[in-house]
Amino acid sequence: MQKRTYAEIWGDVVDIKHLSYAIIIGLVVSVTFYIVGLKIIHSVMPDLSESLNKAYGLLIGIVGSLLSAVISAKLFKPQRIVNEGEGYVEEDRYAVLKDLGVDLKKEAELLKTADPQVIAEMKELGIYDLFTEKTEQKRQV
Amino acid sequence: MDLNMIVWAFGAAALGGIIFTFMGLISGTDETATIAPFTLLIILLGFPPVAIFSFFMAAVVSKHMTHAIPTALMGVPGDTMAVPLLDDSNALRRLGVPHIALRKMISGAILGAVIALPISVGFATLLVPFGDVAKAWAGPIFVVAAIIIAYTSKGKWASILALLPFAVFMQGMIKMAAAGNQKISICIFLGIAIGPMFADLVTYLSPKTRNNLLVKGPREFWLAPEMKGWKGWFPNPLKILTPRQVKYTSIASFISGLTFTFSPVGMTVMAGEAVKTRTAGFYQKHTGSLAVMNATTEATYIGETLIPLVAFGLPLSPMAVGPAAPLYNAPPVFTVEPLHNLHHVMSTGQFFLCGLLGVIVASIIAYPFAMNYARRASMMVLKYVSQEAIISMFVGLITVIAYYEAGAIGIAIAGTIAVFGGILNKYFGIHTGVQFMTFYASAWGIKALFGF
Repeated sequence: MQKRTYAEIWGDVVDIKHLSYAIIIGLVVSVTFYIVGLKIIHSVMPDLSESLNKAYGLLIGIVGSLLSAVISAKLFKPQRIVNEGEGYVEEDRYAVLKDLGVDLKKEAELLKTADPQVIAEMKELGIYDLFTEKTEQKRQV
Repeated sequence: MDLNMIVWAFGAAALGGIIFTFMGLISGTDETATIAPFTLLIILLGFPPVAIFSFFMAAVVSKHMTHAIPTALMGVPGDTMAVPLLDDSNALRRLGVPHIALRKMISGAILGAVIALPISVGFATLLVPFGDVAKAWAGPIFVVAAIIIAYTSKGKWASILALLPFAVFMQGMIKMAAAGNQKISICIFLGIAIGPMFADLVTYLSPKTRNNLLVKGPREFWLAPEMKGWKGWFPNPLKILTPRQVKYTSIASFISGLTFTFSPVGMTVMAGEAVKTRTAGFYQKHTGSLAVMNATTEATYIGETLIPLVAFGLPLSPMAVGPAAPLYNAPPVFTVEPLHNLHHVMSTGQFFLCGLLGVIVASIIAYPFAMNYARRASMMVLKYVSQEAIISMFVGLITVIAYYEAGAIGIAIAGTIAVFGGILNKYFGIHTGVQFMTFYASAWGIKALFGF
């Protein structure tokens, strides 16, 4: 297997070799579509004004650039590793809270007077107990 | 507006909404680089003005809604405007509840859009009397605006120092192209928009700087598990936010709908801080500030688009020299010299109606999509849409439009501007907004300084 070079271009990781092919595909396909499109439209509708002819050509060129995206997407798979489901490691929520510098005693105190909708939301999300004093005491035991 | 125009506006809004609901899912896509070329395209294709504006508004609003998906579910900013929201959404994501971050964000956005639209149009009508003065002094105003936007950019004095050289550079190219009977303002414009990508390519090609971009392997993403906490298709945003969050979101949207010269990122950070200091409790702080911050960006977008467009017809905001730039400069349809743009062909009432249509259509498309399909859609994009394909498409798009305007030299000029503008942006913080404003200021400025 040959060595692959990865780089971050325009905000995401690409395989450099793939990227250079993709750029060439984009250039060649789109410009060819535009130029050939202009010629075809001109021969089919010779009475069309020049600006309208160019506008139709542009539309065909855009179809070309969309096509080059489709070709590149088919040829070059994304350089991304997606972790989900079992691969999704859930962090210890208490560790996260500690890491974020949350004072759980104060939070529990505040929740006593919190808006009922907030409490309902937190219960529904299953994070209400995290913030209540009872669990805090339990953890300290 | 007759029925024909309403159909046009509606169709264009749907088109913009669908394209940019998808674009928003691709993390890191810059607003200017994506929305500007597509808007330019429909202008050049001869869409009527009302359709152009509806398309643009729907595009902005829907992209802004779906960009919350990568931000919330993966912790990668959907676009540059999502960066201030990362801290809060990451805190909630790490607690295992990223979907609440997403819900609060897009509910805030929809509320922000609905509030900001009438506020912006109303405020713009108040400013209309100053519009004639502004038009008479357009040249000097652009120069002053360029200096201000340069100083407020990350480049500070470097941006100010670069103003004159960059203006000379652009006018030089315009005059060179004129010698060959070509007009190139679209090419310049595309070059500026695509600059950041070119800067990365140049950086990679030089062995001296290559290491800055090299990475060991594919990038890893962690996609949060699916969870749905409501019934139905179109959850009521007012119920997803608490009454307190609705209040803060409305205030923030009202204020940001009035502003059109501030930096959108700055406004967003400020709004978020303001809410956090007034809210107690970890959960309330994070969810509240996410709703308010996302509403603020949405409202600033709308205010910054509408106020300069409706009141002055001059591109005097970061938005107007960013994604909305083609609404001011898309020759031969819209031109800077003589001043002729969307402002001159649409009434205030039309701006309001088309804006509303854009917001409504975008909400109908993007909001339920984000609410119901967020996870599945991100998965599809991550697995099947490679960055290579996206770049391939944009390279093709830019090349064809440049060729359309000025033939082969057009491509060369777009590339030249992209290389130099991109480097100024990447290494010196002279961002695309500064470059666009310099472009607007350059015609009058160079003439005033050198007499031609």
